[in-house]
Amino acid sequence: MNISILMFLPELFLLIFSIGFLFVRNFRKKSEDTAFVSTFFLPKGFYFGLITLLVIFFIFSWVNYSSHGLAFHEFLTANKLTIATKLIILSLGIGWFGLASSSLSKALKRDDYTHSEYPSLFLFSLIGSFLLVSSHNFLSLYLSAELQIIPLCTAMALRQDSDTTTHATLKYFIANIFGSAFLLFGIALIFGAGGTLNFEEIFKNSDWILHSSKSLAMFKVGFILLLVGLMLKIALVPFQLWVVDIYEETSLTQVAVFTALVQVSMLVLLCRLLLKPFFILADVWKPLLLWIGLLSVAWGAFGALMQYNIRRLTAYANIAHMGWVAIGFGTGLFSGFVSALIYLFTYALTSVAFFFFWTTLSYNDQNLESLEDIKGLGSHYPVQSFFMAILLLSLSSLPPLAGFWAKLFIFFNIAHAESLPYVIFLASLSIVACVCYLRIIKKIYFEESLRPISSSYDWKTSWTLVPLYVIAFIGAQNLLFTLVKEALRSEL
Amino acid sequence: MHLGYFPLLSIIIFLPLFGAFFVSLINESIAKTNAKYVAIWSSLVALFLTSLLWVYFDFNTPGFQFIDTLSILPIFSITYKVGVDGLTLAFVSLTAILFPLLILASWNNIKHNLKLYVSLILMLESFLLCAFCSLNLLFFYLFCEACLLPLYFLIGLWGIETKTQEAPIHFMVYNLIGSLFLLSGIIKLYVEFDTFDLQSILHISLASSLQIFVGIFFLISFLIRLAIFPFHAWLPFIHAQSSAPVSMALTSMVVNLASYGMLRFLPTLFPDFLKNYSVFPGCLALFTILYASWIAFKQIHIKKMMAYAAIAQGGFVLLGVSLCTVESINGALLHAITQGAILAGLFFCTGVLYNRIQSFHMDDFGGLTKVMPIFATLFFIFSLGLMGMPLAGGFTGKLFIMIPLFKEHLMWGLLIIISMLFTSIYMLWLYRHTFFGIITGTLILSLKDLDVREKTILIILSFLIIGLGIYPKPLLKVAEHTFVHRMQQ
Repeated sequence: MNISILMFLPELFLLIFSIGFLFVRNFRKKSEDTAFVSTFFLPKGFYFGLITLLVIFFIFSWVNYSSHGLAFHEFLTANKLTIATKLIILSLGIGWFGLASSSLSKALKRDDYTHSEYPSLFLFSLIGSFLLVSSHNFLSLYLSAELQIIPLCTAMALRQDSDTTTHATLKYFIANIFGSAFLLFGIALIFGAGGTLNFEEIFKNSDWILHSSKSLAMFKVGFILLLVGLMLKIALVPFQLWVVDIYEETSLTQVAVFTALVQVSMLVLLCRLLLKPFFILADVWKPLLLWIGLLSVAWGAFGALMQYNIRRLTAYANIAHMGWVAIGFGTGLFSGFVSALIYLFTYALTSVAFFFFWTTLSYNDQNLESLEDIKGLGSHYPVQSFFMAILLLSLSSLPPLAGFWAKLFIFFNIAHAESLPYVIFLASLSIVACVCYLRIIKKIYFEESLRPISSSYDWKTSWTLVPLYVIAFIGAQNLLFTLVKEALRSEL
Repeated sequence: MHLGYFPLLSIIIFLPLFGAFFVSLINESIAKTNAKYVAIWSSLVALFLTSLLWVYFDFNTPGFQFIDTLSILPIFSITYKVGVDGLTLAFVSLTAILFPLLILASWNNIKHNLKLYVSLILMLESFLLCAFCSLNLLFFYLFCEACLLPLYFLIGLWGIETKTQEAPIHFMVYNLIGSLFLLSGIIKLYVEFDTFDLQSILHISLASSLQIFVGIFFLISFLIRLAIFPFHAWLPFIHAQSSAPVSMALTSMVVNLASYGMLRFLPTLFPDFLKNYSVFPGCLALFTILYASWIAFKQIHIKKMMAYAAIAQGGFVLLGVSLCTVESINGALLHAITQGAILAGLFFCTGVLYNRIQSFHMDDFGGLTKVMPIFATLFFIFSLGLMGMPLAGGFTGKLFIMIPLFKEHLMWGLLIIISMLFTSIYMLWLYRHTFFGIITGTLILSLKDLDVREKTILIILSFLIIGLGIYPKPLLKVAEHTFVHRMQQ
């Protein structure tokens, strides 16, 4: 078998499955859509099988790839970093739909997302994310970014009877199209300056780019435009305004997908770009990312402080968390990149798990929206509340939970790369963000219940493992740190 | 006596945590009776093992003993490392003695979520012990922060005034800001020396500029946590909304953690900073003592009065440290330990009153001596301790602080005497108003004196403070073990 195909077997599997689902769907009546989604597409055994298969494949690849594996005429690459990222995206993405089926199918029904195209669109987006992470060429980068976003927009637009969802979809689409336009413009200029679109070749041509001031200027402008495009898609300050409305107006299930797929893959891609083709511009991107990160953290922390709508609150918090990752990159240190990736993975895992627990809650078959809605949850659902509290405390970086360690590593690197005032400033912003999360816990535990909340949470789901992992992280961090370091080293 | 390799200290630290885990596994149907017993036995065994520390501790060998090490993240030299010296031994003993009493204090008062309450209390004990014993700066910070989590829930879920529920958030915000400074200082030390190991850092002579820079961070952090003026506002507010056992834990141990931090780090790591700039913490301490005593004098809310008294006593510890002599620092240690026990007793007494009349308002009480004579006697012993009367515990520490103070700053000494006068006035005034006079209502007449449980707690605490008042030698011995050797270095 062709070695290129071997490297990208997971994508091929997913492609076959997603097309297969669309094909099977054609033989069923439209009225059977709901049943199709909840019975055929979401049986747990199927997903366990799929995940096991792909995880075995990834572990096998991890052990065997000591260096780069280039595929499809160097358009795509496979190394330990891409494998690790795909594993994370896979467990978050497939885990989201597959392993939490009974609770989530109720949430999907509540949001009227029972169209049978929905799962296939989601899988297409997952393939896009995989390819994006593996991109080794700016053209494949652009195409996979589109493959990731367009199915997501379509999936969001499936709910046709809601004005707010249509509004959110349009906003999401426009923001991303703008991002893509900047991305494309930046790629064109980079091509003009470097004479190639291949990451590795641009890295090799760096002497030549630095030699000519015209090329260097064009390369810098190209990089800035590309960075703007990526920032628009990740939602970093100053291109973050759209994300809060999207969080509020779209389905909760979509919000989790946004974090799990788009942000993780885009930030890992950014990491790869900074380490390879744009390494020569370190003097440009280091201060830039540091300040973007600082502003994002400040914006997110203060924005979340006054929010009573849980979705808006998490959207602002999301901006802040993305800022932390940008700061990790902005230190320019190898260990800074490692810390940023650990932070990203920990945040994505914790945040998506929190959304899972949140989506299982409802009142009168309606989603819970505001902080007032969850009053007294602790007395009605102690186990679920405990897990939610653990996740929130980890998100607010209180020791000894996983979020604390991830943030601490970033602090160390800022202290090494920059100066102590940065640490103090960021630590104070961290306290502001912490207060936002403590407010949620306060509502859950310390206030009396106003309305009967119902929960469809069943402990027999993989998401139960996340809070336990968050507590036990202290034992796993050495291993995680070594793995991420090894993964990142394979990129160099 | 030699213990050989036996992780005694780690067992003491993690035993309550294991107890908490065990409590959480107890079936809900039997939890109401069993959880309390698991908790008290865990803390009693921890107390017994702590007494073994005294037996095996070698006072002739300077430095840390019973060291346990486990490397967690070598890349950032993050290591679990615990050990005990004289200073630690004193604070660990106080914690180990107070926690069984604290569990006993909440024996019949917890009406809901008993399992969670007991687990949180045991977790708090474990985290506190780990913070006291930690020889890794990062772990010290980590467990200082971790102590906030159980307290956040203890204040919020079993608080007294549950209308606004802002107290837990206030508590967290103040203490997190304190932690921010501590973390910044620790990271600065890490960047300079590439280690968090306290023993290694103690062997390095820090440059004067670094001492000032990091010393300020550490000092501000402890000032906030010790509720020294102008960072004092949170403590009375939290106490007013907390139940008596939680107040006991808060003041006697968690706030005392800041006293421990000051005694541990300021004289040994930053001696130049302390010698050159001691006037600033000294002035703050002096002002805090006077100000808090004056405000306490003006209170009619008994628990707030106790909270302000606690703030004033924190001021004495700061004063002792900022004077930076062997006597004053020994005095600060004595004061921190004895006041921990005295304030625990006083806060428990406020809880006894609240349980009977559901009020902290001084006007609601009067003539209690006639209906609760035993309680009145024990309360008076604790009041004497707080006033600093000889033989009642509080005296020796204050004496050790005031001797060097009078030697160096006579005027300051006189001001402290005035503040002590204030303490005596407001405590005697409180006593007169609450325990003497005519009985204000039929409710008072129907009150019953202390039951066996309450008597046990207060008698143990009063024995402790009278014991320390008559024979403070064990504490002086541990202080000598820590400070004399180090300060001579």
